Amino acid sequence: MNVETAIEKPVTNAVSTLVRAAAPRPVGAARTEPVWAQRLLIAVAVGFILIMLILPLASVFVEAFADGIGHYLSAIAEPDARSAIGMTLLVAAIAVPMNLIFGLAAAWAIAKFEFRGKSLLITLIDLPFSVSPVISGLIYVLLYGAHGWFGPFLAAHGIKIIFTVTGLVLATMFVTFPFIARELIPLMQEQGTDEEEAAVSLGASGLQTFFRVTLPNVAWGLLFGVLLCNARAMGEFGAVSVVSGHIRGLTNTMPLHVEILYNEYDFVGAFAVASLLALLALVTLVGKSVLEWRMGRDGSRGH
Amino acid sequence: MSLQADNIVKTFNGFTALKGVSITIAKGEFMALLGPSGSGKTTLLRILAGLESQDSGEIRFDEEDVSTRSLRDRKVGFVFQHYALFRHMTVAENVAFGLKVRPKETRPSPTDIQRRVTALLHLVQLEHMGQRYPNQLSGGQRQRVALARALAIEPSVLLLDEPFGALDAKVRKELRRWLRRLHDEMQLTSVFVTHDQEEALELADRVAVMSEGKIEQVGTPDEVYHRPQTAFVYEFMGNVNRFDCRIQEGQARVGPLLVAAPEFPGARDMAGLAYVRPHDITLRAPDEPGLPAVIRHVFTAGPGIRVELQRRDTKSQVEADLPHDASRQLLLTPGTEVSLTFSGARVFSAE
Repeated sequence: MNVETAIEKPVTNAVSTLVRAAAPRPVGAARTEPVWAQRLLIAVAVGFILIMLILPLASVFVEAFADGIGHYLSAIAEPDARSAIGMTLLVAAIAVPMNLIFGLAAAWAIAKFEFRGKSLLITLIDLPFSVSPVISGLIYVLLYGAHGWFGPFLAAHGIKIIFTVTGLVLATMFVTFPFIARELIPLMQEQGTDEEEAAVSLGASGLQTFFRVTLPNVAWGLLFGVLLCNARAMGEFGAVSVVSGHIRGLTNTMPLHVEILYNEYDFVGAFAVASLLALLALVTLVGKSVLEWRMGRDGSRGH
Repeated sequence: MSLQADNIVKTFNGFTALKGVSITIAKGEFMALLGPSGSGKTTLLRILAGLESQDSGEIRFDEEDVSTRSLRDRKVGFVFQHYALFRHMTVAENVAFGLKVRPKETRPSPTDIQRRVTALLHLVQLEHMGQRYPNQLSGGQRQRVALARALAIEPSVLLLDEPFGALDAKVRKELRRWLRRLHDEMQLTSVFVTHDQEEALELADRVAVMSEGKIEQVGTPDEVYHRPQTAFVYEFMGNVNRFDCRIQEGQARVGPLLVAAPEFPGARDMAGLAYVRPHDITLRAPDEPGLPAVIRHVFTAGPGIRVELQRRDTKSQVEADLPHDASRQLLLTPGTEVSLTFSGARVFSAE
């Protein structure tokens, strides 16, 4: 009995102090936290962003320019670096349009038609988000590698996928394909099919309906998805690393090149290339904000 | 153009929306499809337009079978319930859409399109709204833009899905009279869907009352209101009192009252339902012959008086609408005993 009361007492005390502390506060002020709490929360948030985001980003540029702008420029102009930049641009230039087409098709199908297995398709679209990128790369090696399922068939026909640009594009597409579809599905679902039906009833063909009604209605959302998809396509490391084979000047992308240079203790070179990726991130961020602002404005114009 | 639907059946995932519906709409007619939600009226309209395809049955425009013709080729003007205006286009661009998407050979010149858009905006009294976007308009204005857009392709048939559903009462009344004038001036054949019987009665030449995927009755507003053919139509066309009765050789007995039931000349003690509109009930002094009842509540309802009564025998509720001067002849206070008689009733079989 003694033990029980000993345990119970402090608990009830604590509760009653809490109640007492809360009770005298006026109802209207119930939601406003004390000033010190507000400041503390803001300080924690700002501090976290500073240490975890701003500082590393700044250090990238500081390190890149550590030996002066001349070294920086020559590090970027170096042939292997240039070919890595070119490779990244090439992969993105193929993967993003492919995913644009796929994303539009998938979003269209899901938002405007009823069919069996629709929820399964939505789940599958999200799959790349939940799978580790390294696994995504490995899947392609297992399928198309020399000892993979289709390896002998591909070898017999002289087609090489792993350790080539094709492999890089496939892996990048896999990792980035949810971005555009995910952005469009809720937008198209919300808009429904009324406007398309109206267009067709007025005599528009399927293509006219798509280009004059459907596409303009989702244009900003689509751009938003393309932007995110592109950022991820250019920055992807894991999946690409597995299928690339790191052949310098041939199948090296920027993120992979950064790692190679870093491992060779070429810090200026590594950070110079990294600074380009960081710049891409900043541009994406600005673009994202602009698009969000535009979409918000269009949203308030909507029904 | 005349429209004809012949034995239309439509099923959605096992739910039968239309169970063999046939209807003929004459050229120049203004037809209302009236019914509660789920009665299949919108489905029928969408099948007429080609927005849905029927499982079986035939749609004919001017005797020509158009069942396999697509929405695009039927060239009907369709006004959607929520207008479905193109949100990224101005009012003028919305109206011009149907002309701009025509193939080159039949497309009017840009100046022609411009001229016709101006004329249409004038017709719907929105001359100065051409450069606005749909979300900058009121509900009534959007509705008129939707109409102008549908009329731009010069259809001979206009189909409207709940055209006034989303508007407030005053705008609704103005707009429906305006629409009726427009229909007459442009010599259209129009069909509109509504669940509001007052709207159907006021606007349409004929009304088709629908229930559970079937047409219960087609007739002029006068016919469906005053001579309902089924119990459903009777109940749907306004307030009604229902009385259990027994039918015997063309007469139905409600308590001590005898009601004519000429539809059942040979009936022998058949269970029936007598429908009596509130304005067909007369209140008399309790010592006169009739159905004994007690007044429960008295309301002033617009131009008349509504009295809620309770039958003495079955304790069920009865509603009566009386003219204003009725209170001069009778003491209308709760608790007063009265005797009810019917000046009109319709008996249906309950079996």
